[in-house]
Amino acid sequence: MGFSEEAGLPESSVRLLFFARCRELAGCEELEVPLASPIALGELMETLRLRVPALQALPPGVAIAVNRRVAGPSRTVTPGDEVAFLPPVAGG
Amino acid sequence: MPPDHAADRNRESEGRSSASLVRDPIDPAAVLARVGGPRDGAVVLFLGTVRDHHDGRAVRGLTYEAYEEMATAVLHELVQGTLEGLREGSVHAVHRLGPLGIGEVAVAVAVSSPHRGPAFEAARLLMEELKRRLPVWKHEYYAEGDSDWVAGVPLVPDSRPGSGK
Repeated sequence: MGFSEEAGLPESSVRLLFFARCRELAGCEELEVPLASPIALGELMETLRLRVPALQALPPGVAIAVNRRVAGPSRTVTPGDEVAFLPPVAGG
Repeated sequence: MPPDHAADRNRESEGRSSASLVRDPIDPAAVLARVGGPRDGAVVLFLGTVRDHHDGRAVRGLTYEAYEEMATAVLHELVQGTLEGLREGSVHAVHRLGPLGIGEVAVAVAVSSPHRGPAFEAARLLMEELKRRLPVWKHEYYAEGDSDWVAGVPLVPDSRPGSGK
């Protein structure tokens, strides 16, 4: 998936979004991290924990959405995807 | 209009559920105006308002933050799912974002249907789902001067797009 254009995109990356307490921990609203090829979300998280110190201590109950859908660790993340860190929600 | 024609049904259902996130105060009359029709004998309006206390602490206001693109999509999905459960009637939901004072309307849900039972039930269910699934966060400001994020409900992975519950 998505390999056709990959050679022409030296800046393949994913966009990380942080909300509420996650935003405060990360110290920013968003980050762009390089990603050359599709990877499982769980594996991506392992890599990110080394790269982004704030992600080493995520508060309990944080969910991760890929392209605006809450996803589990086996979900494939592809360059160009939007990965959002969502603490427990409190709307309404 | 013949209501049993599939295309008509689809077109009708589009106009009978609506949802939005807003930064300006919510006007309950405007929310009510989005629902109801000649076949409906019941209209239920629920307003969630900002209260001045939480867990024994005096609250002086709060701010709602959202993952807006996702919250908009989820809210639309929820009202559409509610409408499908109702089969007849209409559904509208609005959630406020940004800073709110005590007593202000944080969320409004309006449901109309031919009879009151389904209208009450649908409004209740929609609120419960909304509180479990909407990517919105509440930051409370306390009378003592400090503030904190309100402990919430962890989101769970979606099984499939369109799966309402």
